Amino acid sequence: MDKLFASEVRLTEVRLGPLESRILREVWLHKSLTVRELMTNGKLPFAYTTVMTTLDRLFKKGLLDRSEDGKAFRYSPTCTPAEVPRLVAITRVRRWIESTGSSSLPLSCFVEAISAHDARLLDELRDLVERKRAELKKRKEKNI
Amino acid sequence: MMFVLRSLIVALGFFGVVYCLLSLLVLCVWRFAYLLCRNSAVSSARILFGLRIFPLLGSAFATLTLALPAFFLLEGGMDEDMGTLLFGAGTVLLFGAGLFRVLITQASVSRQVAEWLEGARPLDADAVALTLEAQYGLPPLVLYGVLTPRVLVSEIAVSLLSPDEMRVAVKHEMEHMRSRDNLKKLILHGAPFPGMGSLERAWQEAAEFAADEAAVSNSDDAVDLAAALIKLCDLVPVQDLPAFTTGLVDMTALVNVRVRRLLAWNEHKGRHARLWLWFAPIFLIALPYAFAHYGQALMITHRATEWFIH
Repeated sequence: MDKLFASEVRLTEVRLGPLESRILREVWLHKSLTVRELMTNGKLPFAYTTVMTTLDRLFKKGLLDRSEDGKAFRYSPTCTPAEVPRLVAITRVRRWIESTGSSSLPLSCFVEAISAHDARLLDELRDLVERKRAELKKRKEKNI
Repeated sequence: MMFVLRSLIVALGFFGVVYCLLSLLVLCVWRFAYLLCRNSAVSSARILFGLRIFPLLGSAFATLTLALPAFFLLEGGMDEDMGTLLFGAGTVLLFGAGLFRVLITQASVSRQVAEWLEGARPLDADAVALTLEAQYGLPPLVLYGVLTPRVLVSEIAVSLLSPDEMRVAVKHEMEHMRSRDNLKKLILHGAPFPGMGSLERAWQEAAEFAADEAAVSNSDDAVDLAAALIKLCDLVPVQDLPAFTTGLVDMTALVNVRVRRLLAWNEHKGRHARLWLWFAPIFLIALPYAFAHYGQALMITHRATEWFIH
């Protein structure tokens, strides 16, 4: 629960309204919900259509995913609270790229910055170095 | 006195025009020349820097050996017109701006380095490499200084790298020092031309590969340098180093390629072609030809200068 409240500040960075934040927290808590379940479990004092519209807005913002469940939609979160900063970054960078027009330079700079600090890439390189070290060690032992 | 002043104005105008023409030529051909010498990073770095500096040296050479002698030997008492003055003023402005840029940048680099040097103490007995207190913004390993470059190592880097990794990482910086890369950066900074950014970037990449190649003398060294790169890349925030300095992880996007190159290192790859062997025959043929036709060349230069001005 603390984790969810900790994400409150971050959520304001994706520009969520108070109702959107509250509904998103409920979906995070219950993993997957229909509008009806949300109204019952979350004890939300709002009209059905208001909650439905808000869920739809969160879906369009990419924060929720949905699948058909009978005649209604079942909503589930696309990210955990911890992943929100990543989403914020993606949203901001997308806006930034869109604002730079047709020039390819900012995009290449971004790719450069990201690729350099791609943790997975560094892990992969670290593995390659360790493997090479082991290979050299084996070769030396063979020669001895 | 007026004649000398006029000759200077004509020389500057000539220099400016030739510089622009040679720069345009280099912009058109550098990628092809680069492709021919991709096997050795050391050769690539030399060729790319040579190409980048060619307009500056070529135009200076042509001015000193052709434009000035042609003016002194063949020019009559005719006054120069506005065109000459404009070209001369344009060249002065271009290089004045370059010099101003260099001075301003150097001043800011000096301030930054002075901050880094606070509390620095020698790491090695020979005091070539200094170890610094870890400060915000201090790169883990950096070569600073243009005329008397020195290697700075942050305490974080010292604690993070093994002795072998540190030795080969410092050796990498020493190779940049040996190739006078900081001085080269300063020269390029002072000789600007639109569109040269990609060539300069390609040279910087090649210079990193070249320093890697030169710093490594066996497979163990190569693995140690690769490991040092990864460790320091993990540490470095996304930030640019000040101008006229070189860091071990200067171009972070290159780390992937550099590590893979280092892991694929073998003794054969470490060797590089001697470029002067390619150019020596051309030079030997061209030199007598140039001497034989020097007078004609002066005439052509003089006519070309007159035509261009009038």
